[in-house]
Amino acid sequence: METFKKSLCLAVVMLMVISVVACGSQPAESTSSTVAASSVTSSASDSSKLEDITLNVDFMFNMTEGTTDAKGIAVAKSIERMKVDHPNITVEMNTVSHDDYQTSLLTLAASNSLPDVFNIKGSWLKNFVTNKQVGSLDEYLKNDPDWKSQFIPDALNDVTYQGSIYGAPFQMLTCGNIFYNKAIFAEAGYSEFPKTWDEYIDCLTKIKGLGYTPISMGNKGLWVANSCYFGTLGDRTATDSWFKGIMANSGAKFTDPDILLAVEKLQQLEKIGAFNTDMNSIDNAQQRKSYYNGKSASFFEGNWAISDMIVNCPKEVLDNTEIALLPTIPGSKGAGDRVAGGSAWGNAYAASLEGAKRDAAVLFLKYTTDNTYGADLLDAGDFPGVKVADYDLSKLNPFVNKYYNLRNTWTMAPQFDCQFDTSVIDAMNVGFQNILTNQITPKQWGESVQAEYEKSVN
Amino acid sequence: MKGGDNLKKDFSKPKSWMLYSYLAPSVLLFVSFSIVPMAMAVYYSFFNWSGGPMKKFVGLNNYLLLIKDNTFWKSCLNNIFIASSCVVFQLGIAFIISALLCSKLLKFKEFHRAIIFFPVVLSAVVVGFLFRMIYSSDNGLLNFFLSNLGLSSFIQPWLDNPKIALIFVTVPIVWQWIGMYVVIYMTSIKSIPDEIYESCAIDGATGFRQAIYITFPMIMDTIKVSVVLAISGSMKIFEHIYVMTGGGPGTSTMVMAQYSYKSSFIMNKMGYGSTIAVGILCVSLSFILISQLLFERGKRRYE
Repeated sequence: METFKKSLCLAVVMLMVISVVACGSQPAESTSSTVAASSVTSSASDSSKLEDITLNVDFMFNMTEGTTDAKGIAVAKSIERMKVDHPNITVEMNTVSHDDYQTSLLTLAASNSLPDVFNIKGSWLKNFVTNKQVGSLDEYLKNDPDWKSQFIPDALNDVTYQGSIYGAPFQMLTCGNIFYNKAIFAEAGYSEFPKTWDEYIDCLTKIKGLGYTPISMGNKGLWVANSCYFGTLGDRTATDSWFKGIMANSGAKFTDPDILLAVEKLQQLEKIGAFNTDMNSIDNAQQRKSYYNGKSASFFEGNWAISDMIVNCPKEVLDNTEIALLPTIPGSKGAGDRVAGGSAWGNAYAASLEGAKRDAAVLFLKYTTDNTYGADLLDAGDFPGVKVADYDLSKLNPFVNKYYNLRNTWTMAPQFDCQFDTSVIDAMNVGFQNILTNQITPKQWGESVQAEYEKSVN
Repeated sequence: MKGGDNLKKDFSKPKSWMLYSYLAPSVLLFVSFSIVPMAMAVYYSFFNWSGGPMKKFVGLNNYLLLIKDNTFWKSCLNNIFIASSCVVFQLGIAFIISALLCSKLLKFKEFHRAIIFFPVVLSAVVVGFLFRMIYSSDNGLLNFFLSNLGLSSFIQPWLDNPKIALIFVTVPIVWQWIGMYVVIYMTSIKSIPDEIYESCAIDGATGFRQAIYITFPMIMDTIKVSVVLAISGSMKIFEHIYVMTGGGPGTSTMVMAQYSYKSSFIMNKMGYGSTIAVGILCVSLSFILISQLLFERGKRRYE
């Protein structure tokens, strides 16, 4: 009996040890596989023998079967194309969801284990470039003018830092689109979208009186209020000159009355009860649901929502959906056809790559941002950063076509949360949540953001 | 004689190298996963570091900023609220449940204990998501029950209203850990000798009075330890808040650990994030010290 007990104890201990070791060797859920040490032998002189290169890629696009994420679909096609043309390059793809992507990538950056290729947001460039973690694309763009000329000129703004380009734009966003149900607006007496701010407030009040939620908002991710509302509102009230002043640190402040007017207007929307009561606990995907089932009259989101709408929005609602921009504000100079937009993100490669592996990474960037990728993206209902030449627009889903035609009549305004410093953006976002719950006044918002801004420029 | 020599060997006192070698693995794990990161956090708190290879030494500047930081003190207050709720409700409810479970009238004691302990085993993230679904405006269980019971007037945005969000975020935290304290207290109560209960029954004290005047003082040491556990656990609380509200709306449910995470990964200020972590350590230690002093004073008065 003694020996049986002893061997049982030994077995339990071995089991514990093995499970600890086994758990340790399993990759944790959303960290990428560790960056493969460069296994590339430098045989630069021998170009006839192509070495096998494996690229570790971390993207935030949903690439599972049956996804509606247009970029996921298009990237999958790009990978197949590259496999055919360059069989020696293998791509190991790891996907992390958009809202968790920042944490995931910054953790990898902090521990110096960035993947070979990743998505980079415009506002992170300052950090990544200062820490020498992202590679420049200037040389490659110079050597391949065709690739560079394919991009929509405005798309390169968000991926440029101090004159150099660090990311290849894969999308062209407009963030402040208002998707509205014209049937509900007509019920409230507005057969056309309101043209001035006062008309807009009146319209929303009437819609609320009819029992609908005028605007469905899902700000749990914190960025919706900034990206989809404030970027355009701020341009209406303070215009481009304020933005340029902030970027150049030449005297513009977050406490300037022009920009505070935009915050006041945002708070006004909340005060008239235009939003749903749970706006801080649902995210941007959930905000669409209340629009799809006819409970709310409109929602603000970027054009990335379109690829979901053409699949998930019921036909009756989609047929009645029109797209508009925020009206003009009386007394302010911002034009009514400007919308916050840009590429916001780009595909980038790690600065630590060298030689053939670096070339392979940039090649992958080309495949995921070129004309063919752009066409694939349009097919799936999203909007690339390249001017897709020779694309038959009649192939487009009618709703996508509607947006595309409208977009060509708009001008791009800068997106604050792709250009400002990350701590300033965070202070703005937390401030917006406080504004939208009536905890603070616009002046207090201005003061808290300005304090963070002053810290960041020193 | 040989037999006599063998009898003289004292097998109850193991050799010291054996002692140390048995302790070594645990000590090693504890040092590498708890002590070393703490020391590294103190080191990083003296730098401005945005996560790359470049760090800028700033001395005590981060600490000066921390002292003036309103958000940090707001989060500290939130943590104190959560800690007090945990001490009062977790320990209070756990004490009542364990007193009930130890009474002779209850059948199926093991079953009850297992069910009450079950939430402790769940991951904090799971509990957070569960309660987020319960609190959900359109599809949540809570609103469903309230409207079916005719109490629709009580329905409000549970996690959206900055004035009450903290209360509703504390509920799952308190709920999850009750089971652990029930198990601790039950073990402690079982060790109270039966004679004491018998003699107090002779004196005429039963049930409720028994619990307050006999059970409670006899397990005072266990209660002291559980207060320390409750306070230290709630000072580090993170997953529930991250999953349910992310610290919002605004900063109404921000806790110190969440603030440290935000500074490090969203605002790219890892040096400052480490400073906040050191701040958490100091605040927790002072609270535990205060609670221990209060216990000492209470004990002296009792004796």
